[in-house]
Amino acid sequence: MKKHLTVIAAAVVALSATFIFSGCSGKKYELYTNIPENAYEKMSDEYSATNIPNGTFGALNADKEENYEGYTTKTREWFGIINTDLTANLYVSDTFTDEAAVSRFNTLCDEVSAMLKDINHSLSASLENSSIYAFNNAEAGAKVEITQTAYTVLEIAKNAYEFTEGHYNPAVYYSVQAYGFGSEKNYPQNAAQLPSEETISKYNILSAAFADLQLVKEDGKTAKFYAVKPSVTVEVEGQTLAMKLDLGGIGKGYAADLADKLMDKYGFKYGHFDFGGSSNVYKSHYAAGNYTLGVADPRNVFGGFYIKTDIAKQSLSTSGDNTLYYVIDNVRYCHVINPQTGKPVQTGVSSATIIGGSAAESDAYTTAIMAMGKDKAIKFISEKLCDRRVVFTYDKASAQTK
Amino acid sequence: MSLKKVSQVKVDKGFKIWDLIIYGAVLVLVAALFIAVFTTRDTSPLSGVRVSVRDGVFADYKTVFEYNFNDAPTFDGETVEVQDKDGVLTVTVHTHGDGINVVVIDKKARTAKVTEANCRSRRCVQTAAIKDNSSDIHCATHGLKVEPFSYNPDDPFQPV
Repeated sequence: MKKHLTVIAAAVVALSATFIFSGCSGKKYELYTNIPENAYEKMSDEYSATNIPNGTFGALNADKEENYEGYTTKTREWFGIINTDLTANLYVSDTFTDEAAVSRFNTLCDEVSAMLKDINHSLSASLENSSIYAFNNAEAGAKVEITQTAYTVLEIAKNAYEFTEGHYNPAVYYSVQAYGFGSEKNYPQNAAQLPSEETISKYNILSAAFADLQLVKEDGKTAKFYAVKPSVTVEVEGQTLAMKLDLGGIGKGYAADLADKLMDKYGFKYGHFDFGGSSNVYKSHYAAGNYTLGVADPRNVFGGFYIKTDIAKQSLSTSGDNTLYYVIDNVRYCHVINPQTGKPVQTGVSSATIIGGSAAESDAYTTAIMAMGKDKAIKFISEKLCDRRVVFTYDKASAQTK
Repeated sequence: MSLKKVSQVKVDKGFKIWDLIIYGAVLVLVAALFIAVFTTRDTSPLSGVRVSVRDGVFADYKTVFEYNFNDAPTFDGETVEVQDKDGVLTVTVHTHGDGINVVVIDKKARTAKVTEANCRSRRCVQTAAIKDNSSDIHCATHGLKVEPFSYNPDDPFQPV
């Protein structure tokens, strides 16, 4: 009997010690934000919080119904836009008591459908008649006719490339494929299946050529739009490769920005639009005024949140290394490619979220923040993103490179 | 060992009070877990039905059909056919390897059941209908999942 008691007592002591020491060993992760302390709630004790100075945004100014009885939310969903895995969801709240309101909602849905169809026709890398498909399959140096939408999104991408000093770059197409994050998701199973340093360095030559991509607009009776492919090529495994683009990231944000305008056009001031979970625009909530965001903790496998904060009449973009990733030899390989290395982001910045501004731009900036690493990201946010609410998380253990 | 000796051991090594306490504690723990699991089940009426499929064993699940008993169902027209007749939605889902699965949703009774499937095991067909938000139907062979979903679009809390 004494033996039993000794074993049980030892187990109790060991468990207690584990809990006590895990609680006393300090915070495992860090969060950095320019959101004032009184405007967000930290939801996880695993994180320490550090303020980034220079936030200049004002208070939220949500609409709200005093008597919201009868208000309800209608939803509509679209599948397979830009990428087969993606869904887009529209949520619109109103009383819908008269035919006119229902009709407005249906017309809004029709216009969102048409808009998404245009986005797909312009930006899908797998749709054979899309502008980006044509561009990707054209020879180096070719002048490719593209849609006005593709032209506009490429302009945004080029501006973001310069604004982030190359930390956002949509020309990392080959690295995305090589690390298994293309539409097929063929993840390498071991280190031998990862692309070689030599191959990645060649892909980097192509992605660096994004700076040379030219956009041409020819005015006339009907304006025509072109993208001129950089003339640089590389040889990989006997194949001659030219630059290719993946605009899926900011394409979702661009669609969210347009959905926001369409909700305005049809007079809906309550609701939100969500594209792929990472690109969103919010109006107001009819009863609460502000929506309350729970931002997913990238290191909590049970799906908890690391902060809560409010949002209204703003866009929201988020990137993280926890949605698509695999681990080989204790190294995490996520779907966000660092244009500086041509490899998955391993700077330790595990997620980034931006509230405010254009969703298309913010989609590019969240990706860039992950690629920058902690110190550069803090500088970038305090100097260039003062008008947006930004928060990012840092996991030192995930940092492989500086 | 002689019977006499066995009797002697029984007398000497019979249950002691600490043995009973430990057994009692284990029983209480098992009962508590049992009660916790059954009292925390979400037995509210089925609020919506989501069908997800995957293209292979290692692929991620992709939602191909959703219905919340209020709005028209949303679905992927390439893999799903939906027939709405007499208050019953008949949802035919095409899965990888020529898989065909039929999910029947009774709008009034708020139930969902897999009624036909050409998979090997047909366990999904034998699984009871989903009647509340606590159960689901899963076909590993075809990579098909039928489950409740309870996203409330009127909730101002938004997980991102």
